[in-house]
Amino acid sequence: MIKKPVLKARHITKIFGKGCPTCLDDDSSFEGNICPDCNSVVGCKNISFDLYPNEVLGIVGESGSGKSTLVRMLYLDIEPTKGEMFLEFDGDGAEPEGYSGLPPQAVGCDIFGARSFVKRHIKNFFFGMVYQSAQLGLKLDVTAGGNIVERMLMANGRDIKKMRARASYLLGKTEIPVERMDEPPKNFSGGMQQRVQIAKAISNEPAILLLDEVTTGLDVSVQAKVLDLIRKLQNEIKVSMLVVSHDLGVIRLLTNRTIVMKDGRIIESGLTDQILEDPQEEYTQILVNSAL
Amino acid sequence: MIKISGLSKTFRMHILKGKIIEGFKDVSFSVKPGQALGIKGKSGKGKSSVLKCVYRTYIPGSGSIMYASGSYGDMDLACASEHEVISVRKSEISFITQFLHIIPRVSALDVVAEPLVASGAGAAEAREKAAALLSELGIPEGLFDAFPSTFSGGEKQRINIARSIIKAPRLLLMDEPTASLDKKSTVTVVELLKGLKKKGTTMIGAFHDMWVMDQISDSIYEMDGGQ
Repeated sequence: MIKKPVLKARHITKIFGKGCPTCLDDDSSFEGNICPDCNSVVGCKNISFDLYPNEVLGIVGESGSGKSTLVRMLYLDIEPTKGEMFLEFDGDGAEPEGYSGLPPQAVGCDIFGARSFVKRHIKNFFFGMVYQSAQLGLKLDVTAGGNIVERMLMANGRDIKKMRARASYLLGKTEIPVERMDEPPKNFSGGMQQRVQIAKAISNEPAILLLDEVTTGLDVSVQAKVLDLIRKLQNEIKVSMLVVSHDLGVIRLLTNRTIVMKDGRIIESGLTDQILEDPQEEYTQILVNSAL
Repeated sequence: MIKISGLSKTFRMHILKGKIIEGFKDVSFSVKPGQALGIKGKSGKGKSSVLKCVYRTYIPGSGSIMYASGSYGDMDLACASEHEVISVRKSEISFITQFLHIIPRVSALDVVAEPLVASGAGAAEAREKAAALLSELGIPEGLFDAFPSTFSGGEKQRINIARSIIKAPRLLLMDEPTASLDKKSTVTVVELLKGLKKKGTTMIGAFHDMWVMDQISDSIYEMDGGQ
């Protein structure tokens, strides 16, 4: 009845610097995010969690707590120092033609240790990513439509007419005027750029959508538009989401479960309403009591 | 249907130098299918906290909450996995809280229809049901497409109630559901809840309004007293 996780993260650690047994050992404990022995910076330390099909999992924590480092490792942008990630394809039998889910080499294997063509496949087919900064997620000089079609080409799209039609459909869905499809996103406002990023990220119908501070820096009315879009996607397409935010309001609105991070470590996790109303750890209590 | 034994809850307030605050202690009661239990007690006695423990917004300190789920078998909600709790919340257990959490840019009708849509109902059908429920609760049709953030307290609470019961839950938890309503709306809500009970919904509610409690409850549990 209760499904298997679509993503399993196990003991993921990222050390910026040369690292030593103190900061690399899963069981070692020290305060802060600088290793006392080798002065390396701890990005993430011993992170393990499961993401279930259709679930929306939140990651909260202050700036520098390692949230973005974690999602960028999951998206295979940066390599972890150690740790493993396992994926499981959970299809409903209605996948688009030619969609193969996971390559056989990725089934039951640690993706971080997989060969580069397997990683490329995972990145192009399995994940969708929306970065905090549109500069990372879009080619700002290429047209909005072009950005989306490029993503579909990577996921083996071949029929340019069909892809263009889908790009225009997705832009409509994300409330970008379709007549601006052939304009480069550098002409767009921040909120529009974020919505183009979302259209691009969902164009290949990913199993997992990673959202890194998507509403940060947007004014409240645009923020509401983006949040509304994400909530609609939750109901409309079968996708699991990882939502990274330092905004507890965003976390409350979007997620079922939440992980709290501090200094690169998970200090607490639970149902979102429980984290917000009955936080157990000191840091979480301070965080919840600091929210507006 | 649900049997609570020796349930206690304490809060450790790190902000107050680790002070332990007692929520409630040693609460035990049981509710049979289709029955309603009212929780009675003064403010601060922990009525809401008991409900929040059952819904697992609070992590219970000790004790058990045995729930006979329709599709997942018997489970102890006090220690069920987060994933199990999410599943029963989606399909069986609903909670009418004291206040509505506003969802930006979503109309009253869609706020109410959303739980149905999320469980796979068609949008048109869900909206139709939501409209019928809102009319029954006395929300004027002109407000259906407006955003609840601009509504009065009583209107917001009726939206909240409608959202919580649109799926006719198996187990309904209620925390002072009528506290912000006038007499007329209170009577409407009570009739609605009675109808829901007839259809088989089991209920646990915390009430200040004795009239509402008497109308709905089959048995009463008094905090610091017993069933």
